[in-house]
Amino acid sequence: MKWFLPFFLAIISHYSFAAERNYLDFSLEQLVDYDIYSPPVLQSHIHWAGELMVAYHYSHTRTDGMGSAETALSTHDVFNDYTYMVTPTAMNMDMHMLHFMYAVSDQTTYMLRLHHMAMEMEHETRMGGEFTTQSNGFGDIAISMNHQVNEWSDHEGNVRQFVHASLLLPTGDIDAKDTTPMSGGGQVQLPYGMQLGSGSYQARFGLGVDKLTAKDSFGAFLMAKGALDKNDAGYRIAPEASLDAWYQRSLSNNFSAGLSGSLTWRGDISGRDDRLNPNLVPTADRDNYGGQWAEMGASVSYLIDGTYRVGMSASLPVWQDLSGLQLRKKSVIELILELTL
Amino acid sequence: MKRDFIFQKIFSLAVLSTMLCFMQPTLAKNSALKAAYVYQFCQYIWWPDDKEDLNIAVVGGQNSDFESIAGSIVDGKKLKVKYLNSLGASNGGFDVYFFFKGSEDIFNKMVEVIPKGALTIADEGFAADKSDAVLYLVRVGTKLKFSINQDVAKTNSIGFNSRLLKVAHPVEKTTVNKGLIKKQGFNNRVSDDRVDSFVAKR
Repeated sequence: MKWFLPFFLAIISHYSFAAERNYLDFSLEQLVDYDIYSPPVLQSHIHWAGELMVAYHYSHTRTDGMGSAETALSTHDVFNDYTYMVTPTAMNMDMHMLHFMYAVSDQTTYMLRLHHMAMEMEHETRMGGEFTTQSNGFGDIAISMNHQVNEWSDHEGNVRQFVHASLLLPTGDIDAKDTTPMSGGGQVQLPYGMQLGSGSYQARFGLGVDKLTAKDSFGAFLMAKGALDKNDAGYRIAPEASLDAWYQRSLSNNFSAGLSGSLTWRGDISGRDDRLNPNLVPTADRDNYGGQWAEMGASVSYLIDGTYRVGMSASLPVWQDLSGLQLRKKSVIELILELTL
Repeated sequence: MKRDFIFQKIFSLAVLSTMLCFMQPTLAKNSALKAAYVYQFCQYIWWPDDKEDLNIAVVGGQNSDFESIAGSIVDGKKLKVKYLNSLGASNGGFDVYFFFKGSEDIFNKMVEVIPKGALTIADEGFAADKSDAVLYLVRVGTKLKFSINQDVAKTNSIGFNSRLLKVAHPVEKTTVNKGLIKKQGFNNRVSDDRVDSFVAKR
């Protein structure tokens, strides 16, 4: 669990700086142009005291084709180079997320996240047969906090430093099953990546900084996440760290567009689920998880009456370095509806 | 497994404790922004009489909301801030009144004691009749802006620098609250023409 210590210490050290800002340095024109609405990254949402925000996010993630390290592999390559009897060929994941955010002060916003996932994985057997497995249900519930630790202004706008902490509860199913051509009509345990939850309590810490000016906002967010214990199936899901950066430009009082980039690292699964046969399919082998990804995205957002925000974003991987043999990510599309009260 | 379970409990507790530590409210971001508005307003307002200091009443907020401007000097006038959360006999002697959202009841009752010539400012989302306040903050899209109620301003003999007029968010002409005019502007010592000429000169 050493991974979280630097983040925890950083949070404490950041908090030791008193929040200090000076809007008095703003001119009248800068004040009326100052953007008081939160940037598009949820972990940086810090609302005004008493504000309640309900956000619904829908995302569709598509993975297509196999790969190893930075190389894409065809199904033919997989069966030639490996001994697996089955290989996945594509996967679709639809996620519906409901966020409730409430600001207890102008510095601290709490968040509860519920999400429902539906996953579908397409396979091909060494004999040429095809089949699909599915799982769906609610995932792990997250209780989070975003806290602004510091803010200062310069002649262009305001710079904010904020921290994020989450506790993820193991409410998602880790016993999802489905039938396959080899299961003889019975249901068998689905692999790690098709499970809805982690089965473990997880902690997530993040540090971020952003700058809000009259016309644009940009920032970066560093996050680390890890499981605190092994789950009942005998494994601990892979730890993860990511760095997100974004730029958003106001094109009018209500309309904005943005660009984003992210770099994600995911470690190895520790322990193993004995219900899975790692020689049958790559997804059942814990060594075929983890890696590093870089993604680029674009987003648009429209604010209605200062209360509703609707938005859409899309991102594509620009670099993937996969551990073992895995499906390669193709695209992520996200639709956003937010209501602030 | 037992060791994991204990660690998980301790760590979960630590994470939640950390979250609770951050619950203590510190400096109010929105209040600091609004205080900055009041500071700017004080720079660009023409008062009907000479004042040594500007006494600001902050109604309905917390007792530190406008600390950032207390003691500041604007045009040679020191800004003095007092926080009011209830009606009292001494509530009538201020030059500027800022009413936070939620203080609508106090606002409606204080109309009786607000002196003629005082600058009244209403918070964004303020539920009372906006036509009662000379200036009021409004959310426009992602911004916090302000609008000017020219009618109430004129009846209070308050003039504005043209820069303030230029930056203000335009608003449809409102129906003036007759009660406030009666209290504040009925014995108007400064004519509308004088206000207009002041604005033109600035």
